[in-house]
Amino acid sequence: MIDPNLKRGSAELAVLSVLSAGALHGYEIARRIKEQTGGVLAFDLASLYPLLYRLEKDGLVSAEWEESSSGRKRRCYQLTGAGRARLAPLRQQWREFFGALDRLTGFGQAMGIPAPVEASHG
Amino acid sequence: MAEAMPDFARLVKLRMGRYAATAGDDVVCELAGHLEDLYGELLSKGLTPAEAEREALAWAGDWKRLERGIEDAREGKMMERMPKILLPGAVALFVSVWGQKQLWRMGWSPTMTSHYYRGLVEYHGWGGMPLHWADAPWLLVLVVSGALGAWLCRLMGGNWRQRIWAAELPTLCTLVLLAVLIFIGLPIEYFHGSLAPARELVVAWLSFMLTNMLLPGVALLVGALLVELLPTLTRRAGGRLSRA
Repeated sequence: MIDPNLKRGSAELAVLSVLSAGALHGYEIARRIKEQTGGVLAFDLASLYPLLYRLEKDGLVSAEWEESSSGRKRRCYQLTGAGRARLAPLRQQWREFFGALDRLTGFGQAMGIPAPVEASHG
Repeated sequence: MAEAMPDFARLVKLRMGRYAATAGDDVVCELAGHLEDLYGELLSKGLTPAEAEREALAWAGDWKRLERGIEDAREGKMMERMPKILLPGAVALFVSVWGQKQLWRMGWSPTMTSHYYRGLVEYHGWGGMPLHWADAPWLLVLVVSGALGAWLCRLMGGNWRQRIWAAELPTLCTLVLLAVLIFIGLPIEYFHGSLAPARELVVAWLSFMLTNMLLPGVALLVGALLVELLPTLTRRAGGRLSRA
């Protein structure tokens, strides 16, 4: 059983990472995460929107309504400065976490996954 | 022939129930837009419109979890929300107890309980008031208490559910008191050998719950509903006056 805090942290990392490429609406965020993880990570409404609203409340993302050419309104999310600042250490934490697991289990080597590169702390 | 898009906004509102109003049109519109996109994707994968609608709604996940998640995300976790309920609720409780004390000072004591669980109510009436109206002044105090609790909760940004909880806090306190009386009083009576027959106990508890919980609970709820309805009624009355 995965610790809920770990799961929540991974969901936050996934959303912030996808948004680092540019502003997206909820459906597109979910679609890209699913596509880029080969379907391993999939968000339903109940897991995506509470997370987006929390990130917005925490000031890590901002949202604006936009109207498409067909007249449909969509709420687009983008990373704020605080969100970008949060993403770098979050990535580092997860890199360290997976590195530690890998060293412990040898799982990455057995699967032929290259060992994570330790980022230097300047 | 192109199939018409299902009305996902309506379907979302239907599934979210009363919370849809609390969450607001923006949230409903956003969730519906997401489902419309998903519906379109499923259609392009070859599903029939009925299948695509069913799949999209099933994919949405647990609506109760969604509701809780949005509430937590927007208003903080339960512990962060508690002051919005407890502070106005405490005021409602204080006013209800204070109001009852004032009535007692004025000679109001329509209910006499001879024993905590044999508490069949004896009505004495009050100031020439007909017997069955004797509780009316107290219930009126409770209406005001409930309205005050709900109004303060609204001022603190509480949603409709929190306003109801705040208004009903005095009833919850009575419930706790009853539970304490039962769990402490019953064993004492049992070991003392003076435990009343089960049937008598049940009747006494039911009468206690009716007079000390159900009726007051309804009165407090009426107060909370007044706070909900008064702004609407005032707006309507104002609209009529301005038209006239």
